[in-house]
Amino acid sequence: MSGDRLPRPSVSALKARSQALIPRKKKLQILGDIEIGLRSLESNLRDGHPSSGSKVISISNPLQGVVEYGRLLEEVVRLLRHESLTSLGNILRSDALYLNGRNLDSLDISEQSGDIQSEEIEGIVARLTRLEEWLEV
Amino acid sequence: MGLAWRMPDSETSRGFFKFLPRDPQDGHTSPSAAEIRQLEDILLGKNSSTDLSSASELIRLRELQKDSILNDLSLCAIQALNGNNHLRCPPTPVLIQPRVADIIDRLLIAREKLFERLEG
Repeated sequence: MSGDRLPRPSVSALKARSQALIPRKKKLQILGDIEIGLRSLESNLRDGHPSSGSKVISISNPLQGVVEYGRLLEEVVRLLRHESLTSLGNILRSDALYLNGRNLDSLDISEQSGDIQSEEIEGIVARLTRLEEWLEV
Repeated sequence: MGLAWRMPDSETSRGFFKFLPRDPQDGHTSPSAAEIRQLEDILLGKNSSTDLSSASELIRLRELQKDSILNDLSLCAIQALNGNNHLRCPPTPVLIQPRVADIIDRLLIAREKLFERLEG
């Protein structure tokens, strides 16, 4: 299939609706910037761990509830940062494949990091559920 | 210190969690981990359940920490596009899994309930 006829990824960081609308010189510039951007993302993902490793506490009074809310907030925001940057990286990779006229099936997304994140999400959900139960949400 | 600084009940996940795309702001500093730990130790060591001043201060610091991490996220997203005007950052709801979106909505509701509990 010609590169120009490959479907644009359903989620994309490209403003243009089709790569056919982008001149070749601009396309090369975008590909170069995506490569630089992916290196920057990898570095920023290494700098911010998705979990703070905070300890779980039992909640039996409002002060303990405040401490647990604060710890949970940090965990959730770290997860949000990690997930947003990981996803943005995957989108840029699929855009690069599309601009190169390659099929998106060749995109390699590591399942290992997804599994680690999945465990963290389950841990956060369990803690949030305990806080909600105490607050009678 | 009371809870007067808190945002109104109409605060949304989009605003509270500073959804992308968003321009980063200058001057965001994160409170120190030691400062947060010290306040946590004070609150966990108390028998009383009514130290509203320390509780309010801890929430304020934790939410400053949140804003600092999310400001860094905006900066990282902008760096990832390397200033190329043919690229734009997709919005947060597109970037995150539905279960993460559910967590942030639930945490915002829990926050409101926690404030009600502290004020009640």
